[in-house]
Amino acid sequence: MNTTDLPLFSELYTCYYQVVAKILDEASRQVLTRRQIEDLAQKHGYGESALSIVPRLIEGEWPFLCRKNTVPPTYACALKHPLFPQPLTRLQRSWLKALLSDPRIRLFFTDEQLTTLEGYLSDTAPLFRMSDFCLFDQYKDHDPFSSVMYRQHMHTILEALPQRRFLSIDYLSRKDRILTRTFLPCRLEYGQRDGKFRLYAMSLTKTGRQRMDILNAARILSVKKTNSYFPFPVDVDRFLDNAFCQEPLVLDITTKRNALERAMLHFSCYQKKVERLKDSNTYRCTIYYDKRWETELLIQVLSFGPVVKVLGPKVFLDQIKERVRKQALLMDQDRHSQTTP
Amino acid sequence: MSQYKELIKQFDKIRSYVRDFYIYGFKTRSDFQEKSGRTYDNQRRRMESWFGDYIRCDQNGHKKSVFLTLDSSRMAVNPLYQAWRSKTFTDNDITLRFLLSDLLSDQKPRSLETIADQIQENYKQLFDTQTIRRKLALYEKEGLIAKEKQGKQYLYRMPSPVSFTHPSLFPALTLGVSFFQGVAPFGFIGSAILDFWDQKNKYFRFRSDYLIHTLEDEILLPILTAIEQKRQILITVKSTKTGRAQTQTVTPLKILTSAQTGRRYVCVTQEKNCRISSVRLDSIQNVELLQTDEAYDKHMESLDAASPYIWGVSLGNVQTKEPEKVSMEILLDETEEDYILTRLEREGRGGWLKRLEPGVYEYQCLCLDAMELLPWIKSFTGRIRAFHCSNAAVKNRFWDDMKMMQAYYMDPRED
Repeated sequence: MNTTDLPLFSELYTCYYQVVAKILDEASRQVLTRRQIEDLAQKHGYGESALSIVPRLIEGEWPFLCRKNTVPPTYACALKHPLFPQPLTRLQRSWLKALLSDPRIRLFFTDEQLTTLEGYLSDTAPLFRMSDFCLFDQYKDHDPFSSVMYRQHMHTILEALPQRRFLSIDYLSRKDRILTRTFLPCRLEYGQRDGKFRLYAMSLTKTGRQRMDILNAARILSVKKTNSYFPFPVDVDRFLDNAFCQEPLVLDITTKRNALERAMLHFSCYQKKVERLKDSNTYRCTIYYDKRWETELLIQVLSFGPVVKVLGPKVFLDQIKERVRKQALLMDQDRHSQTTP
Repeated sequence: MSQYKELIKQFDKIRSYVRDFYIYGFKTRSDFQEKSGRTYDNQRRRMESWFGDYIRCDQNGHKKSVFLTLDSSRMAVNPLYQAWRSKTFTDNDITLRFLLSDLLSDQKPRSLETIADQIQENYKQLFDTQTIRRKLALYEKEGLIAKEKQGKQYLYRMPSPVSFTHPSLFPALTLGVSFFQGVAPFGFIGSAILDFWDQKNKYFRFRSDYLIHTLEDEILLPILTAIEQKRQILITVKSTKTGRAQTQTVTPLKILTSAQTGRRYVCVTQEKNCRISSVRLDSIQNVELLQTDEAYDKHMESLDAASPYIWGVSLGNVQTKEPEKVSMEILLDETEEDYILTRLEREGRGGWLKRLEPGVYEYQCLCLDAMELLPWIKSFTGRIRAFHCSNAAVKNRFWDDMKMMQAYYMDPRED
């Protein structure tokens, strides 16, 4: 591994190259008008990329388009070969090689495929070693990535996902009941904190209504392919929007004990807004969260103790108050039994 | 005065801006005083351009704050990867990138002279052979071009894409890359692979994902090299509290990542006092590789010996300090609240869990810095029957915090 000659920040990965490749790819299938080229640059580039890219392509400074004498003028790709897929750089292969030591890689490949992948990367050094990393506070009960059964289930799910194929799943519910139902796998969510995969799976009720269930991959007992397919892609976010909080969580955060910096980083994975309150060392943070994860957020807020103060919503504040009240009672009992510190 | 450009030359110039826009979000133009107002304006314009869909503004009187906000669990690809795609290039760079790829994509080996001739013939572009040679050398280093000697001259050819040479790996490899670009170190590289294949992550999302880590990747790479080669490094660290920068010679041992708080550290041995400590990756401004550390294995042994007593990242003074003892008693309803027991079992790091009586459990552990446990212990507020620590300062901090929480949230009439 010699990283000095493998720059991460390289022209090879620049957004503009990708935008140009997309335009040329499209122009190799059909001639494009300037407007169409601008639209593609707008879609695939940064906010102002079209202003830099389009004139250079049209005027030939970047000589990849041929102008056709049509009205309005149209442009065809001057290159002869397909733009995609492109061969990988050494840095990219080196990254892939590093993944081979991650136990989760086996969830994606059969043993035969893994051997093929190892062969492809045999002359490549890994970019990093998993053993140099320690995820020191991940929950201990992460999914059993090495389990044969778990791996088989994941293989079946991963095969069915792009095919939009229904699966018959036996599932062990939280109440230890076995549920058998037909699901369309739509999305896999991985939780960094708990090391668990969750399957977002759609089922159809008897009345034909669609519902989205979330299954813990580790609680799946069996998965069988069916011969049914769903004709359209499913917009999973549409189902999740209903779970979004009506009222955001509002917190006041002090600057004591570096709380502002800690809290901002801690809550950075949420959609949030922060304001500095006038004439004080306090900041107001508004967090928009998914109701399904409210308890987790509550626990996170409690972990900050008095440097973070909850202002609302009422339902959240009431839960905090209730826990603090219970704690006060316990401290009182402790005081009465004279073991208070 | 130089003209504004969407692309940049150096990544480290925008690292702190992206961080401030994303992590804090409340800062206004006047808060960015390290550089000129014009520099701020240009950087803000870049942020708006790169992260358009996630940029929001807030007007407070005359002051306007621009910030980056998003729900990471809804993201297919880390939007901050956009920053890695912003490297500048010249007209020659882009022209040769596309023309050489097109010319050589038939995998036929060609000499430099043939390549120059065919670029002129096929694409009507004239380049001197020296320019082409330099570009081919760069691509060879990057692994995009293979060079082989035939007689007295070198021949260049482009390797085939992996989907052509190893079709049996697909679509599994696309799915694997789609997943790991979101969870593995240097995820941006995975995202760039998807770009090279014109693919997207359609099926994976990542909960509690700390997107900000990607900004540290340029710092992380040489640190990992140093760990692998057992070398020392000279790091420039900027304090997040004081803003002061200082250099230190250290031997990096391990990367410590927190899945709960979003912080990443490098665990190091300080050269000046041989103490093991942890340095936040986001506070490191620069890394320079130095010579091999002959005592590397000894440092690792010290770290391994201390590991069972490290709760988070703090090691105190491992050489002299005895572990601190922490214990807490937690109340729970055993029939209805088994999830509390699950929490204690899965979140407790090391330590022992003991059932004292029905509905009362004791968690005990030894650690080098008990202060690190307090956030976790406070997350059980409402259930803590007892809390003890051999470090009186930690014990007092805990009870003081509980009293302050009561003062905040409880009506005094309830007291």
